[in-house]
Amino acid sequence: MWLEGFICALSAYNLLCLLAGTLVGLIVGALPGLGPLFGVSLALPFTVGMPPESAIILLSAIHAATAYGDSIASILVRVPGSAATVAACWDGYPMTQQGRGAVALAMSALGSLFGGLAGWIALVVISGPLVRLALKMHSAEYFMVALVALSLLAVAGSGNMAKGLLMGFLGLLLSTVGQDLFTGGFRFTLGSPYLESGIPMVPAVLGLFAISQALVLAEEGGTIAKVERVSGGALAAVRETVRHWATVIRGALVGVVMGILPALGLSSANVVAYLIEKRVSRDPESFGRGNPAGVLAPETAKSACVIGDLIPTVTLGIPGSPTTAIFMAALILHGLRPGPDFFQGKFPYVVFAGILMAQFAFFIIGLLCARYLARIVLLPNAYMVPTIIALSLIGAYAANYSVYDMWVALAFGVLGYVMQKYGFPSACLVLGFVLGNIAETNFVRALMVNGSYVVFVTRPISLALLLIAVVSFLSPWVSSLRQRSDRSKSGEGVGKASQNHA
Amino acid sequence: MRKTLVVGLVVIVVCGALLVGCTKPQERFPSKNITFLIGFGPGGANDMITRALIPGMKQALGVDVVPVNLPGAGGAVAAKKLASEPADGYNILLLSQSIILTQYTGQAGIKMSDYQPIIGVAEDTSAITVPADAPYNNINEFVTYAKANPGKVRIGNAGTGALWHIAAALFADKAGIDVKHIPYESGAQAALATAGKEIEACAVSPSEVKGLVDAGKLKILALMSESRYDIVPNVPTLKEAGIDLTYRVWRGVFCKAGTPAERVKKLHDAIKSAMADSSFVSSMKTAGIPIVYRSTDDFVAQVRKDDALLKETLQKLGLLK
Repeated sequence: MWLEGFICALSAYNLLCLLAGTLVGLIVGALPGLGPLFGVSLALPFTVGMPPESAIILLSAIHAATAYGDSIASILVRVPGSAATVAACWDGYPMTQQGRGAVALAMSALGSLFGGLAGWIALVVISGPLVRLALKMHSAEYFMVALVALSLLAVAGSGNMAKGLLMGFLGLLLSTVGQDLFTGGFRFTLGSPYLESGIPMVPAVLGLFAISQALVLAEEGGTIAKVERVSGGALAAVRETVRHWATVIRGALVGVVMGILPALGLSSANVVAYLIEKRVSRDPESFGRGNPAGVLAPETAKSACVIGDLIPTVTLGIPGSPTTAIFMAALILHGLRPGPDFFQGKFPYVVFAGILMAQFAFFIIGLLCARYLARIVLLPNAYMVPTIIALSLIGAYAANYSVYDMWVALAFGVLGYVMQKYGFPSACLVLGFVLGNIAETNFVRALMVNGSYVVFVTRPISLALLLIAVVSFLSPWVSSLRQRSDRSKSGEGVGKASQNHA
Repeated sequence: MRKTLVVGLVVIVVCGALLVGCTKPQERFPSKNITFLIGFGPGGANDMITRALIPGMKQALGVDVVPVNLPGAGGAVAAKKLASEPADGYNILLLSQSIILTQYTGQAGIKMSDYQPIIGVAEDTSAITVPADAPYNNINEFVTYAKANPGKVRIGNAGTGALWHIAAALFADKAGIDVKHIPYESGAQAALATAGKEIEACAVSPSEVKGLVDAGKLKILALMSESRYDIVPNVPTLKEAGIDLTYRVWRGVFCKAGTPAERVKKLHDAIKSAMADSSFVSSMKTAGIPIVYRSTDDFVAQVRKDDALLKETLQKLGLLK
């Protein structure tokens, strides 16, 4: 089966498809706002006349490469291609400014490869048990997962707790815009039908990061890189990655878990992986200043999540995200029905082989290009700024073909700029925004289904998650309190105290 | 010399312009490209159906048919756009039955009287689905169980006041049972929650539960359609089980009300021939979208009937504003 699958996938024509898909994917992915969703839906009509195996290989390659390509602009220009790569810019961009852009890119390729492999193994080997676990997750557990993720607010806002909480709650507030699932009533829609389905994620993220960044660059002038030449490359990246092996494992776990839960996904996996990494780090202060672990963790999680997302899709026929819905439509179009029958015959093995090869394809091409791509930061901002704004607006439009989404991007661009100017952490806003809805609907639904608050503590998984959330939320305060008392005892105990809590 | 040339040219151009104005108004329809609006973003069922219809329509009409996605407010944004265009048949839109609901529950100000139904293209229904190891093996046993446990049975839908909620409410009303309606983000999520036994049942599209049925996690007790479905041939309809209720969820093509009848007919004929195309049939089959043709008259009557039914049901549920 496997042999047949790989032999089929390795035919010259299919390899050509793999290469073409990877290149197209990298280019589409690198453009802001155009992510896997756009790439796969763009390519789908072109595959209609192709043999099914080649079509699926082409689409897998685009799927994987766009997800990876998204990070390029995020790391180099601080312009994330989609919500999936928001976290990559928090440390990737500082690295770029320090002239280590090529290292960050190569690390992102490595992290993505390992994440992809972890996701692939989960998909092929343990998708059965994973799906059984996913079925055990009721609304109460979904709420608790969101709560655990939200408890990372304190980590995300570290350095300025008040501003962080403020932004977190603004994010939660923004996530409530739209039609309420339970009453059918409208909240904060200002009477506009456009806002009925809520604030669209892609344009909001593009505005918040890409357009605000363009404004900042315009103000700064000069070039992005604060140093004369771009240094480092693949070797340095491999060294850093080996040094941070635990980070890779944690990132992959977060990615796979978030991937198999249909409601959560790419937009939260990368942020959560980043914050967990910061949480467990011995040196959380170095995050946001070019810490390699801050690139590796979200990139690994993102890539693992891209594949993890496919697990409920192929095993149960339930797509976890819009991108996998398109991917599922592609499988169906080519005569392959996702579901338990999926694992029959040779065809699925071709798909699996294709997905695996796609990981290596983007990795190799990404690694080879890193050095050259990294030079983009030597371009004058005068050229960068209009390009970023134009591409962001196109990206905002392309997600839904909606002109109104471009206004959303512009509005969030101004918001993002103001936030950056006055030191309000964008991480907190994003966290609240992507998780608010999940937390709220599942909380209300858990109460509706069970009729009592007891459900949150009587279900074991829910209770365990609740305890994790409480500990995770309180520990930064406790440790800072302890630090303070240590400091009052002796001026030298600070480093030691923070180590104890790492 | 030069003056004469200029005067001559002016005369020719003016005459030409006048002659153009003299030609009879164009009778032929269509004489320019048709815009096919899509009320949702790329990738959904409406988008798939529209794009699959277009090649056949181009052939039948001899002009280009251009798909334009205008997502927002469950199709209402595109519907508003259609209502603002002239009633000349050059703008058409594929709508699903939920547009009727947005008249009453949305804020876009949709009125069904603004639209002329052209043709019914697809029809779906609700499948009453329970966990595979549930103690009831047919719909009547389920009803008996629900009667013995009033208010205990929870049925999942895809949003309060949306189509699957109405389906479950109609069923509960007809069967005389008292159930709790639980909304999920989508029909597929409701199916998943049923498989995970968070709720007792869901009433969503057969294609949304099919994967979990095949996986041995769910079983369908009954369909709310008029006849059985190809994808689940062993499942009886409610009618067969003695509960006199059918619930169809249609998708069809509309133009603006007031479009000349012969243009409506021309569009109807073109779409009908596109529906007969073998590539359309096969792609809809693999996508699990049941194709059902309704003529203009049938479709107009169906839309009117559903408008009354849905309004009444919303009223009963206390959701009519």
